[in-house]
Amino acid sequence: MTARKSKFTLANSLTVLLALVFVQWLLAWFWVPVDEAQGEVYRIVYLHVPGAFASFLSAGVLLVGSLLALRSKSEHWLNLSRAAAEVGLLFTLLTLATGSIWGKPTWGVWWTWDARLTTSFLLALMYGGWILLFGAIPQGPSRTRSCSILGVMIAADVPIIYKSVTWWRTLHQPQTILRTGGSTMDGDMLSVLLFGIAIMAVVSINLILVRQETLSLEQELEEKSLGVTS
Amino acid sequence: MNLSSKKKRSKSTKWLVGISLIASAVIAMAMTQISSNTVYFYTPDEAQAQAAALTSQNIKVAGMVIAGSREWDATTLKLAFTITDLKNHEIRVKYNGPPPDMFKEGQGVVIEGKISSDGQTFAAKTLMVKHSEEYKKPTAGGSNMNKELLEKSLFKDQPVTNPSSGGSTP
Repeated sequence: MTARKSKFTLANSLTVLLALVFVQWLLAWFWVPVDEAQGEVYRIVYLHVPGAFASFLSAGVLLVGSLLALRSKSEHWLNLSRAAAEVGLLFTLLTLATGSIWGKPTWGVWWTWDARLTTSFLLALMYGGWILLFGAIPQGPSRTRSCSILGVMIAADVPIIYKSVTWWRTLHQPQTILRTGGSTMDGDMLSVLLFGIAIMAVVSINLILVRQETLSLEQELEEKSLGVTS
Repeated sequence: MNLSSKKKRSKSTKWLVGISLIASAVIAMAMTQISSNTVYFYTPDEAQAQAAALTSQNIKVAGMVIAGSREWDATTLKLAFTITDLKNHEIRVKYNGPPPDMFKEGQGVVIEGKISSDGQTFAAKTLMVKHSEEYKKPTAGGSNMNKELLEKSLFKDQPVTNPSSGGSTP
């Protein structure tokens, strides 16, 4: 009963969050100025960068879930990890797609195997791999351990992605926001971008929690129905 | 008994398939990263120094397009321009086809193709524009973009302040 009530609240807050995403899109389309070098096309940054940060944050949640599972040896935390991997895959694919659409008109190519793009592609592969691995191992301590170890490895890719543009020569430009010497973005543009990152972060956490709850309920139902038949 | 062992085997097969898929993906990615992408692009001085050895390969070179060096023939779609590392190493680039919208003189580019054995000319198959991490409102008095940002990103592991030293640092 209480579980159903809290799910209702989470779903409700998601509606509010999506309304905020819409407001940020309106600002991004009509309020922020065009960019001197790129013109109108740069506006995809307001979806691309929040998506990327949400995919990183999902890896953070996956790390927490994995460490808790490894520490407690409890399967309970796998639902959180699974939800984080699914949402993380979604946002990584969003980042790759928007980046590709942005790359064609500005760089001249849809894709190139530079360090930033390759490590981001690897993140999508590993999120997908986590979901495959979870589905392939029967329930038990071995699944909890394997999935959690992979979860930690996935989280380790995030700092590599983030620093890739400073460690290696890339086509992708270096960091705009978090860099020594301050942001290289106009103030109005930056505030809308930070607003977008903040909302997308909350959206991703919300999606992970809703999914975790669904998975827990699913598991509970399965266990109950098994109990009845045997 | 028979049924349960069959089920067990099919599950362990799935497990194996999952693991090997992930492992092969990771290895494949690591291989491409290590073999050809450790150096995503050469700088003009690196490419010229090793031109004789690199001439048979497909390589990427990055540089700044020199102002006034661009020749564009709109009927034959032939483009030529000169790139520099800002330290007097220059390569003349030839490319067939219209350039990306953001291509202009003074812009950073990454070209992919073949360098001549003397290192003076480059036949580009792919022309990519590298832009900086700066986002600015357009201003009335012409461009106020910070060119240093792009130069730093292009030649980040090379000393820009010491042009007399010439060769690349290890």
